[in-house]
Amino acid sequence: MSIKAEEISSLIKHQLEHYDDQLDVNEVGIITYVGDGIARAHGLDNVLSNELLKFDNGSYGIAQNLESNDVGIIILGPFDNIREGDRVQRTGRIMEVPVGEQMIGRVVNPLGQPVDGLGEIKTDKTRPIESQAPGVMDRQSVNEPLQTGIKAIDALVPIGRGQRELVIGDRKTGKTSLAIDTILNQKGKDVICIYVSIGQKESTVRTQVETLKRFGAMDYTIVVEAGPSSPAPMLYIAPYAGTAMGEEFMYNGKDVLIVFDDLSKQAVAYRELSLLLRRPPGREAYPGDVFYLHSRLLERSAKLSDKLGGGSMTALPFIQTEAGDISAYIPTNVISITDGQIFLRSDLFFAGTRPAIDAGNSVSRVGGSAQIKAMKKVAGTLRTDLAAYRELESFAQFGSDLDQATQAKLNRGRRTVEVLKQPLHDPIPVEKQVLILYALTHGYLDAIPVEDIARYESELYDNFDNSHDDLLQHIRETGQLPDEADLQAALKEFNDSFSPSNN
Amino acid sequence: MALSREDIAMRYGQALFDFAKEKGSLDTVYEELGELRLAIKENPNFITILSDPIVNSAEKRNILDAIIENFSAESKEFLHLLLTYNRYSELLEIIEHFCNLYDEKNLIARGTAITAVKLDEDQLARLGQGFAKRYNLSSVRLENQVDPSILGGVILQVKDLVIDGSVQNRLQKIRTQLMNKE
Repeated sequence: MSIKAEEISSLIKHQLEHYDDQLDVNEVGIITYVGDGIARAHGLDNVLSNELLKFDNGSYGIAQNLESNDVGIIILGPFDNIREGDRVQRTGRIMEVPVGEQMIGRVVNPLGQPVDGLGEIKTDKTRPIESQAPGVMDRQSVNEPLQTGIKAIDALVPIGRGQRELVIGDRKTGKTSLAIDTILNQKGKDVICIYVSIGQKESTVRTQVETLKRFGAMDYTIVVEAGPSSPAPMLYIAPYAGTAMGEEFMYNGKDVLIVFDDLSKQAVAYRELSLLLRRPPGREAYPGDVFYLHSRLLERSAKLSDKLGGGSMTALPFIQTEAGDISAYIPTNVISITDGQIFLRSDLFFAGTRPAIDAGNSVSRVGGSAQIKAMKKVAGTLRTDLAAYRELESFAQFGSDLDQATQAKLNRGRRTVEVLKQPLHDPIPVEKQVLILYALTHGYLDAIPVEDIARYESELYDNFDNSHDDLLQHIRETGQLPDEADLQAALKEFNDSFSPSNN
Repeated sequence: MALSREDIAMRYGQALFDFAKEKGSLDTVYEELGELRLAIKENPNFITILSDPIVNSAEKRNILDAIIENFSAESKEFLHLLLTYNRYSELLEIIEHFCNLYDEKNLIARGTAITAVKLDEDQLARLGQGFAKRYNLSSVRLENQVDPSILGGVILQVKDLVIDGSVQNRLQKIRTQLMNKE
């Protein structure tokens, strides 16, 4: 086949029709200093704060410090081939990331570029990574539950859609597993999940992504990943980029769950940048605006008013503590910003209580209104029961002569702790949670040996799935407890058939 | 904390500017320092000697006096002051800053024009005038730099502003446009 020269030239002509032959007028500065992820440039007199800048080597940067004779810039991307004396150019834009449906199921870096090797992401929508949080009139109070599928959370510290609930604990206390399980439980609930991993080991992230894939959770999840080997600016912008991706869905009336794993590493990255940019250090060498760093991020998670579509973004920020010290600088800051916290304790974790939630120190400030009625009924006394048990437990270690009432309380407490244990990656639907908690609070478990409770629980679920599905369905659909006589009859029938293991 | 060279240059430059303005001899000082700067570029030893801590100050003073014999009283006074305060290592920056202030006041700008072939004085002057007109300056002094790799056209760089009218840049733009269409 021969191609005619005219055809080619007409094609080229067509392509170039919109070529605008204008002079490029750029404002440039000269780099005077390059450090770890940051640069200083002389010139750029008219640059705006947070403006995107372009370096000669193709990297982008964000103008951070505007001083009398130079500009402090954080560099997003490779900086090892930027030299003193290079030029840096204004772009007149601010930093944006691609957003939209096409991002779902992908693993991206904080710039929105895919890192999962599945090819280009074809999306034409972008959002600025920094944007104003919705105002007072744009919000409504949290009124719908976000089921985590974890009994201890849904019963004791319920989370509502649009809430910000801090997850705090030492390293290796199951924070990440909590997030992954919560994401797994959103399957089929029309919630888009965003998992922002900040400074987590790449191998860990890989494992989590594989877990999400195995349970089919990547169909509604975006993973934003800034590894420990990425430069500090990437770690710093990662949560903002993730939030921007979530906002796109939230403002389109959808429900979003975003997990920041974890914000202490982001604060450390920000501290690094701030010190290199020569901002004055404050307590623990964090800069003065480290509070604002997290408050402006978390304020963007909200439940929008119906006028704006009623979308929501639920945030689960993570903070890692050192030796259970929740009164350190960053933990107290974030506790004061969020609507409650879930405190994970390593001693509980190693004692086998998993998830290792410390019921006494965990609260949810808005969650009560975001629980279904049935759950509220069965879980009402759980917290006080548990607190009473913990108190008695330490007493009971000294003597064995305890009166009947105390014995009964201890007995119930042991079973409560046992019921709240839950294996990894096994979220439980809310109706079944109600069922087991109902059995617990109404004394059906009191006669069951503690070591048999896990088996009791799973057999109970199976039994109800097979023969009393109508009761479960009633809870699922109306959110109310079914007729108590029916429920009690069914439980009694199951109790009679349950045979404790004899050993 | 020690002051950065830039801070030092700003303080001394500003002081000199105000002083010369007060005495009404801005133009003379500007010219003289311009000459001095050219001279220093040819003999960088000048600064090395005057900022050398081993050479004693009387000797430095003699050397300096010999060089600036014909300068105006204001320039002389300032250059002596620098010697007293041991700021000769920052001399070039100070002059630079002073010149910037002078240029700003008189709406003068300096810059470079990068071209593929050498421009003659007349062409350069016209280019400068065109630029000055567009940005409301009274005059623009351009230096010519030859860089064959831009193929044609001209890249003007004045202060922070870069106007890229080179053939190479245009080709680059066409290339990105063609690649994006696919």
